[in-house]
Amino acid sequence: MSKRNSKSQGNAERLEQLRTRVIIEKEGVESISSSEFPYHSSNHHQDIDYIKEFIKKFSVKIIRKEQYDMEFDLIGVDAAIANALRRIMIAEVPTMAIEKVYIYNNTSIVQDEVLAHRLGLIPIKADPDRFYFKQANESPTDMNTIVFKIEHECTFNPKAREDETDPQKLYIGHNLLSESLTWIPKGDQEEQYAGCPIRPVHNDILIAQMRPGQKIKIEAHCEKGIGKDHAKWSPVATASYRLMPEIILKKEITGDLADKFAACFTKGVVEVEDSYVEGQFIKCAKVVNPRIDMVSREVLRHKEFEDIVQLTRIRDHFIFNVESTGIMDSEKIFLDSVHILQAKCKRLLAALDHKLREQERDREQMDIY
Amino acid sequence: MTITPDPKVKYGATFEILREDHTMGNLIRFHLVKEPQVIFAGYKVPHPLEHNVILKVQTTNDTKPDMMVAKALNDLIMEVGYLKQKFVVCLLH
Repeated sequence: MSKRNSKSQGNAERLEQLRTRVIIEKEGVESISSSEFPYHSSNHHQDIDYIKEFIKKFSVKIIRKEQYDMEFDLIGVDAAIANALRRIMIAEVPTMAIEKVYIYNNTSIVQDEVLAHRLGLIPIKADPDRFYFKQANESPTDMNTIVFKIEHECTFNPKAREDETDPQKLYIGHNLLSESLTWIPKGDQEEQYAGCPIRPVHNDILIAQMRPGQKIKIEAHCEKGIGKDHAKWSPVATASYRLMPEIILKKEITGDLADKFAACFTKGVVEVEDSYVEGQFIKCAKVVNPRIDMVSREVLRHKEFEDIVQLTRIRDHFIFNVESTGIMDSEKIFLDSVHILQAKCKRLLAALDHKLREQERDREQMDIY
Repeated sequence: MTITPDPKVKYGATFEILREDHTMGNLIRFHLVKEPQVIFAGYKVPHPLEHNVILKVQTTNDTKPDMMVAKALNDLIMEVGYLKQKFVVCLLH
């Protein structure tokens, strides 16, 4: 009787593990997709209120926050929401970038289109919330366009020696940097942005290299857009997430094996400490910081550890890493993405409502006839 | 964004959502699957160059597919709102 109980207990534990963890084996990964839907497992009720459950389980933890780089945890969310937020951060949060380039004079080696392409990729530090999207047939106004100008020429340096070979000393202005992008305020823009003038995020981005006698004269127009349209409008260098790794030790690992065990993981994950067991000091391996583990599965390659260790990932614990290009702060990008997700849902709901009402009307009309 | 329900099976409907992609498609499908009254829910993006999502939903006898989709969307809005709140609170600390 007790054997059956313990077996069913073991089974229940294993089911629970399958439900909440992604198990990483030597040859592959198991139990990947969530099986949390009704009628699936015997101990799962059908009529729990998922919202209440979510509110109970959900938590946010901010691990590291610099201005343009943020690492935070979302615990208790589903993979679908985490992925949706990540996709929106990359592709649908709007920013400003150079879209139209009017080239008046370009005698440099860099072709017109290559120059225009490179200009488009320069991140522009302008708050996209204060601008409107510009439609194709609209004319540029101060509310939907930012104008930049470049007027640059490369000349010989009169002070250089006769046999100088270093281009830094021979020529003046041979590197066209992004600091040459001068903002031309139009209309209201001068007063609106008096405190924080619009400029490229970095001043030392090399746009083109020139030699004496070459000139570039360009007017560039910035417009608002989203990353889905062209990657230049993506506000993040990258936004990624990973699942929290978990290392389960089924047995104690002691002695020299402990050192070998610690070496199998990223530095800092497993520590070997001396513990006082049975009258002597033995080295014991302890999992200290599973968070920084890169899950290389090195430990499963060694026969001695194969049955003692289980590598898993916690299915609803997401470690997000958002790196901004410098246009907006990382947390603003995340908040914007959450806001956009909400707006999308509301739009879909409105469209669904609209469609249903249309159907009702059509049905009524048919009944009349 | 237009939705055209096409009943092919009783208590089943096909929703065609224009100008959306996996971002929303997967999300809605996930929430639909969690509803106990939904028998079947699936989505696909018919072609990667055309930005549409086709969502197929089949429910039990006591409710209609549109109600389930509406419920899923409502739940989503609430969850995401709560997420945002919690995040802002965490930021302020």
